[in-house]
Amino acid sequence: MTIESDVDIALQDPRAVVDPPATIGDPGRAHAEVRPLLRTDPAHPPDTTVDHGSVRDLEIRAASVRGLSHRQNGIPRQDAYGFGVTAGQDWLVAVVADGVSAGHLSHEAASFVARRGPREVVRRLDQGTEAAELPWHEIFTGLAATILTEGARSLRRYDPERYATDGPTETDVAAAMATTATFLVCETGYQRHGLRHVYVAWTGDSPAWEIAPDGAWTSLSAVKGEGEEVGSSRVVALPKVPRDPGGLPYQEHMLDHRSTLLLMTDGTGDPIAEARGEVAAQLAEWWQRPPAPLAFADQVGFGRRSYDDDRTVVAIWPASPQEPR
Amino acid sequence: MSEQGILLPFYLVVDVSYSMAGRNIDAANEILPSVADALAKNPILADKIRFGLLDFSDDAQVVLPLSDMSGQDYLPKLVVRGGTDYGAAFRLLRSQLQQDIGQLRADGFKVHRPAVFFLSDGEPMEGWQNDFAALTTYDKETGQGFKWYPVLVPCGVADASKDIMRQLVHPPGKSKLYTMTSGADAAAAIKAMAEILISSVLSSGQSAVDGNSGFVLPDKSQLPPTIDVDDDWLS
Repeated sequence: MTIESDVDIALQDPRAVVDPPATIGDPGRAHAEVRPLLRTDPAHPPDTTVDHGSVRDLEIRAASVRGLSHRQNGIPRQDAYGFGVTAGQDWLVAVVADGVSAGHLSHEAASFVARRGPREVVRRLDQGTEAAELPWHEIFTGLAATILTEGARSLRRYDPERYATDGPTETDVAAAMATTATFLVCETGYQRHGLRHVYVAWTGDSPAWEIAPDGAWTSLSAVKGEGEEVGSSRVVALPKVPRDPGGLPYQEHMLDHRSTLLLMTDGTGDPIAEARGEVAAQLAEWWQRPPAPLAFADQVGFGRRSYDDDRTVVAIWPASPQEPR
Repeated sequence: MSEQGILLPFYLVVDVSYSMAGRNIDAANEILPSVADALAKNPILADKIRFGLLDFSDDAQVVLPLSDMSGQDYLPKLVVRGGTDYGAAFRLLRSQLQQDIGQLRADGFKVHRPAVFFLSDGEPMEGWQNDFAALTTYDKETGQGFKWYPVLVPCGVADASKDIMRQLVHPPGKSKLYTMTSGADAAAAIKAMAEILISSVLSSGQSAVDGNSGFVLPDKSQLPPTIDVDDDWLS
């Protein structure tokens, strides 16, 4: 075989031309060397999920990628995301959920939130509740109740002998599964002055960010560990909900409609940190415009030394008329 | 949060006084390759662990500066010399910690409190207490003392005095004293100490992967038979 024919094969078969996987800075060894254990339990979520699509003026990408540590140890991805759109397509609702690693069924809790959460929010908007008036405490409490009910059912299925006479208590369920939840409710159009309404409500440490047209990052939720000398790993997670509705963090924003909005779990949020370093700069460059969906998933799973958690990002761009839809 | 991720620095400090000559120093020289092997098999932990080796006798030396063990083609050897001066070890350790931790933090890493395994086979010369205090004393309220004091795990073999080694356990709630069971072979005990060290490196690394931040020592039930653990005092 001549060198020339090698080149021909590469040109004819795009699969033969594979870009190296995305990395930012020193990728460490794990990103290249970890050999993922194959998922064989159909009850576990796939290693990676990707979505893309558009809603009115918005172009959306989402990817959830199993972390290196979970891949190595055959533990299911505990992150999840979900969407909803109101009947009139005026509002997009997105959620990310990060199952707490201490619970062996936390991937189920994250999945409940991703499936039920957006639907609950959309239902209220469709019934006429103003986006700014959404009863977040009630919504989170409802999701907590779902986790407790569905979780009790799961526990019984996993361990029928233990729960033969007495069903699992709420404490049993909360110990087996817990998840963060961050919702972003985004106007699909924008106001005449070029601003878009965005509402963020959350429990736990899954952040939301805006990348402005000039590439500047602004937090739409809370930056983890900001001002702390030593980071804390304690997280308030569903099914726990603060008793006081005022204890549930919430922010309203009016944002430039040209901005990119990112909703993510801490697997991506932690390396972004305060968005001052090379990770934020590289992501802003990659995500100036919506990448091809599989490229987006590869970028969400970027290699960086010592970051091995599950990663999930939902990204929202204004659709550009120049780009094919 | 720092953008560069988490690092766990581990140091091994080895007594290379003349009494260590022969099989004991040979056993000590097997520790570094064993650590490198253990980390080579686990890239996730290898990305989080930095390892350094210091020796001491009448003076102290940096044998392997705090390193990413993955990049090490050549592992240095310990060679015996002179007496046993703990003070020299503690002084060098303090200045190395100051320099290494300071540099890693300046590079943007979130650095775990360093762990030091301190291996000795004999009674030290007098006058190490002030150097030990300078290494380990820190008052969080006032900021007085050494902010990056290590978790110091003394490992005593052969003639190491249990009473003196016990004074080196720091902080008492986190560290333990490991000593050779009486009558055991010192070289075998050093090998066993290496197992404890590697087990601690791996489980502390895994703890960091799981989002916890605890320095972990192996459970008593996992200890090799040549080793006694002394962790039941009141602090």
